[in-house]
Amino acid sequence: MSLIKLENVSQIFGFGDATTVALDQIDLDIKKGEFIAVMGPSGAGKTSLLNILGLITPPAKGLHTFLDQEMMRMSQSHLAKLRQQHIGFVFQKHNLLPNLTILDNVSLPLLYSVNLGFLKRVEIVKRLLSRLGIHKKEFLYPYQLSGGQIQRAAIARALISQPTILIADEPTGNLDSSNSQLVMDILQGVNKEGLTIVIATHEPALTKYADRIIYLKDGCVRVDQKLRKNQQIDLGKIHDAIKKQDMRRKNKQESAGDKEGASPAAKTAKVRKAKVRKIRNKK
Amino acid sequence: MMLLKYIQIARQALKQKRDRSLITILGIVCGIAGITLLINFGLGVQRQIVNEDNSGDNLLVVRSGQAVSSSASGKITRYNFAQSSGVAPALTAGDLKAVEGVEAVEKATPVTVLNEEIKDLSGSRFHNGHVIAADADLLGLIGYEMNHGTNTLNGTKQTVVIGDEVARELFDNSRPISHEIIIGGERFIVVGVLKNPERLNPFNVGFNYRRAVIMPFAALEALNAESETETLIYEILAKTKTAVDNQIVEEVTERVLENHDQEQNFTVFRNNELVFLTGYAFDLFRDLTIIISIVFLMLGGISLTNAMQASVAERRLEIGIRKAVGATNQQIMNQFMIEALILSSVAGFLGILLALAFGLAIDYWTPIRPVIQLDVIGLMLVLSPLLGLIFGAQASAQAALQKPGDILK
Repeated sequence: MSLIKLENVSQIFGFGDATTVALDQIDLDIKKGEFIAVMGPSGAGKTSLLNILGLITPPAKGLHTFLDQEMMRMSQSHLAKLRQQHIGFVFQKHNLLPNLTILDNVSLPLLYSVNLGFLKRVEIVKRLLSRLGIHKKEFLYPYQLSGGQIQRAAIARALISQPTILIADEPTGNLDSSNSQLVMDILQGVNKEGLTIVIATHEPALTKYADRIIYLKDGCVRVDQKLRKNQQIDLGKIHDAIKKQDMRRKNKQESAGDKEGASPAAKTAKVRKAKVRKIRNKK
Repeated sequence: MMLLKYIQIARQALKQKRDRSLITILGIVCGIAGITLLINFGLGVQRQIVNEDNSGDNLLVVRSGQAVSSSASGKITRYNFAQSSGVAPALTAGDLKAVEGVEAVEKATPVTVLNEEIKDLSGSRFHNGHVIAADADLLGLIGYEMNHGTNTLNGTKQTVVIGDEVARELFDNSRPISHEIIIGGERFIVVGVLKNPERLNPFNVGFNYRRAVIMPFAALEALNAESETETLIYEILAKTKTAVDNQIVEEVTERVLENHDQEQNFTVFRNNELVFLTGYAFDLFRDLTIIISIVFLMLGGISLTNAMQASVAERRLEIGIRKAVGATNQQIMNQFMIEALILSSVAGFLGILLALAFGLAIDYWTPIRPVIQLDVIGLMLVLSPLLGLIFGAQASAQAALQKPGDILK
């Protein structure tokens, strides 16, 4: 069953000569229960994609459906309610609010969705923190926790409202290998319980937890393939495959009659401007 | 339930920036305190002077200077503050005789204010006191009573009647009869102590009779005669045989004019006019200070807006995260509005407490009794959160419209 569908979705930032095409006409179908790893070099569009999937930023163009509802026409309050009820987000840098205790941080989503008494909240948070291996920390502040503990508390915050999908943007980006493994084990565990997970990562080693990889480059989906259980992606092969694709495309363009002899930089700029015009015109 | 949560979030946020919160509310505190105090102050004065005056309709006052301007029909149109503060030439014994000579006048009493130090025998000074020269009829005319001793202000004997605060502070004794007091280098014997008056003297609200030393006018004349100085009179109080009417006022005015070469550099008041003017002067002062307090309130409100905007700018990341986990625009706006409401409500409450404290101080140190009106306090308790709503709205809307995508890139 499709959870999220993106059809011809693009994202652009800036204007004029400073326009950046973050995502370029991508199509994506995320099914319930999948564990997807989104990879790509810096600037490939991973965060932009995750922000669209997490209903944080609307796309500039294209069709975006979530649970069969079209997102583009939805009001801000409705989107907020969907975020409350269905989406758990784990940020790489922006984790916990420093002036709130772990209890208040983790139960933050509950503040806006359900009316729970203090004791009930403490009970739910304690249970979740216990499960994530950071029990007895609920009344401490973030500065009193280690990096790994903070990230686990952030995961707890993402899980507390029992979302339909958990989106994690480089959840192990600031962690050492043992904490990284701990975090990924937790994510794998909740995925096995039926939670759909989409994570953005630079680390090929983490793809062994995923059952699907989406590789982005220059805002486009270059690779979208299923992975076998515990299969770790070979980045070298992926890069080779992308190189071959690029060569084929280049040959195609050249044979299509671009004989002006313009410089590569000018050609790139021309292509970029054409993309932006195309996106803006069809909005 | 949600309201309690907003209050909790607001409390946490304000605790983080305690210093800024305190400074922010200062303007509103001053404004609320000022308005509350002055309304209570004005009501107190009104009650003490205007409503409770029972001096009677057969009292007339002749005072130095053109204290008021009147229309052709005799109605007072303006109160001349500068003229009424004793800048103009004083009245003389001749004016006193002229007033006594009016048939409708039963008796006339001179009142003079002296600029002299008051000391006891050891040389200790009594500060912020008034020395008044009058005769025994004064106290009866202005409705003041003796607490101890006698009211012997007739004759040239150097005796004085003193206010209760003079007795307590200078002699450490509530009935210092036969004690000696030094005024202008001359010794006087205390023969009586005034009772603490329940109301203000409508004839001279500027004098605090609790801190006054009253000597016989004749004694002052005798002392001045030794140094060949004319005794000048500040005002003449006259009791008339019948109720004061325009005819009596005209006759007194004419008689005194004869002494002043037809130059009207004095004012003749009826009792109710004086009471009205005193109330009018206070009302004017009160209204002016209320305007200043409103300016303070506005400044306080602007300070609140500024502080809220700074808070929103500092907490962009927090707003982004709250929105990412499901807060709607309305919920974010409510959160910041509650913060503004808490700040302004606390400011209002502190302002009221400050006003009450000042009121108690005024009650203790002056003869004025500010009145605590519950409806005024209620009005201020309603006004303060209203200020928070008005001046917090813009920043709250700004917070609500923040886009999480722009913040959490």
